[in-house]
Amino acid sequence: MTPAHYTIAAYVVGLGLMWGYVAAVYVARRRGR
Amino acid sequence: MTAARTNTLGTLFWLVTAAAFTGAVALAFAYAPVERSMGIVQKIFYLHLPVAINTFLAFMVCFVASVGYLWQRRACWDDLADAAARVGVLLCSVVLLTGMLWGKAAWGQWWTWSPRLTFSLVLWLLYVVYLLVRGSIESTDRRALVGAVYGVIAFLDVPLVYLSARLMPDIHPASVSLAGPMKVALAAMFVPVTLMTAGLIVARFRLARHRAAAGAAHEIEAAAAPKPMNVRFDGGLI
Repeated sequence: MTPAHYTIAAYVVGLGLMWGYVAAVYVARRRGR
Repeated sequence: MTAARTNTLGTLFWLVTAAAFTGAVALAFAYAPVERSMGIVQKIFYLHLPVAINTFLAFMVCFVASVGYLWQRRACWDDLADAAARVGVLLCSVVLLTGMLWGKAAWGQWWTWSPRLTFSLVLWLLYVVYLLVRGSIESTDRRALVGAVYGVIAFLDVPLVYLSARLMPDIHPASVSLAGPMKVALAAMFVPVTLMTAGLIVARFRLARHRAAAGAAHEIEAAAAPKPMNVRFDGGLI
């Protein structure tokens, strides 16, 4: 892997985890109703 | 405020956060210059540092809410501490993962047991255990009390993470000097990451309050329901 790959991977992992948690909280809220 | 209005405001909030993220990532990659010694991998820094600072903020909210619970013994403080700890663990995971990717590209290894990295891992473990301990206690009051005491003690690791690279020899940089456009890109990334942290803590807190209200309503319904006439000695319906 090149440094560019590591950089893109960091952004994909970081943003993916945060937005994934946003989605999980809202799905839980919707199912809870 | 009506539920529909709250949902519209929530959607608007996340749209603004997504737009801010798009702008900040564009600034990091298109506006900030490529750093001379580290190259493109230095751009991980624009995400890594704001998420690290917000990890501390989330754990500080957990600490303040824990103190609030110990002071007032109100369930909302406990729900806030739990929400902040969950978000803090998520952000701390992002910090560790982006740091490892940076380390592999810049130092040639995924991990090294330097003081700051070690204290960061300890911080992550402390709050993962906090969530596991909470999950293992059934009594609501006892869970809140144990969580509050733990939440106060666990926060002691945060200053250690911050000071470790400053007070001890460490491969992790303690401070960096940035050119003007780099400072702009870094400041821009603080906006969506801070919005994300606040929004997630509020959303998770509201989910917990919603569940608590639903649970209380269920208990009231169960208490008001007519008792069955034929009940065995073990409580089961015939």
